Amino acid sequence: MKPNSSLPDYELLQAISHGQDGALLELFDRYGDRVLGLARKICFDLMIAEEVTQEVFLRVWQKADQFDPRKGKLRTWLLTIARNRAIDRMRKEGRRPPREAVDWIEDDWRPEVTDPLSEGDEPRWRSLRFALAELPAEQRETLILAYYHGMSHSQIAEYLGEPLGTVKTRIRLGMDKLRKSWREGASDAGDRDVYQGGKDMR
Amino acid sequence: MSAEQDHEQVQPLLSGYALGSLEEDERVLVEQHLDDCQICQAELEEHQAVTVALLEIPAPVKPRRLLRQALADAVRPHALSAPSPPGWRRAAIALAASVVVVLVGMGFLASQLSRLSNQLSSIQSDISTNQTALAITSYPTTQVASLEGEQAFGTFMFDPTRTIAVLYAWGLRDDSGEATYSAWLADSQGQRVKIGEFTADDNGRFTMVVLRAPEPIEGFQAVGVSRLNGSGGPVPLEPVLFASLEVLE
Repeated sequence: MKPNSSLPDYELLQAISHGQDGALLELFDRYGDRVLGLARKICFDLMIAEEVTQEVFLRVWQKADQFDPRKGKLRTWLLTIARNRAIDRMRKEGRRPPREAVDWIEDDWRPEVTDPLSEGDEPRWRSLRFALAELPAEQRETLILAYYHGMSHSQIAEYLGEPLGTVKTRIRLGMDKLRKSWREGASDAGDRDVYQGGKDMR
Repeated sequence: MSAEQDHEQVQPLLSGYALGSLEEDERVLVEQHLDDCQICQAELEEHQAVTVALLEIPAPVKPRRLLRQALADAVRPHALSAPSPPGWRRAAIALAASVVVVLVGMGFLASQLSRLSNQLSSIQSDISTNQTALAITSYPTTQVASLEGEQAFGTFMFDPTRTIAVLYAWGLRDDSGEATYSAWLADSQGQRVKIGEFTADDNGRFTMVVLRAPEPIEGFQAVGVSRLNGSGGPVPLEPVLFASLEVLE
């Protein structure tokens, strides 16, 4: 049995901050698939997504001592870095998502998501995925462009050829529905999962 | 504007704020209002909980073994247990600390830190190139073209259906050490399309560079490398490296 395999996330990160490369690989084994899956949705290119994934874990290797467990979960920190890095990469290369591939929810449909390290939020993620899939396509597409591609409202309006006001309304209506779904799926109050990071998440 | 008017204006913006999609002036307006409005703070927390959950929505993709191995190779040479030598990160931190202690004068400190920063950037760039090269070698449809020249030779590794390739070249370094090279692809009409610009490696090893074409490489007939003159044009007209891609079909 590997020495790091049973360590909680934060202790794993402490091992990484002490230069234990085995701990970094353990973290990769735990969350590499999530990071790569998210990067691929943003980058649309598996090779670029793999490069971004490497960058994310090398970033963790460099900045492990900057993670503050009081600000949120390690998993959230990791995925937030991944999102930011992938969006930055696409911006740097001047790449935009192919119009026909923006709405990936149907292609990504998985009725069951199992995760032994889910820490109890798995059912809520499933509910949110359902809620996202059930949004009107135009609301879902707008939310995907905003969150997974880092576009501003005006950029989305220009990309879709829609009025700015329409984009803002779709964002608001779509997020209200997702928020309602998330609230209804709550089992325990006070589960603060937002990582209050900042510059350390790029 | 009254606090109530602020609230009416800001509340509809909270979802965009959580998504990070507001324009700059709207973002500032929201942040100023949040300091004094607990209702909006609570609503924002709900929006942010959704955006955090959205990070988990995309289906996981199992990484290839090569990706894990590349990560292990990238950190292992620098991650040693006690006592010495430390990893590159710790060596860099130790060097910076010793510089701060020993130095006299901000000018010398600034130049040393700048050199260290350049070294780190070079290492990170090498890691990125190596990772791309590793990724390309693992694709089953990857092809290899041998580049030939009078004094240099090389290898052009690519997947015909993709736009990315890796060039390895030996013998490009010239006496001045300042030559810049341009890599290009030639189409069926003989038109050259530039896919990258680089300088030869300065430490005696082969030069390795990632190149990106504007369209899949299978649409081109040849690959070449030319030396550029000071104004960016090729010198001489003959490429220093060349390979036909037609024979690989």
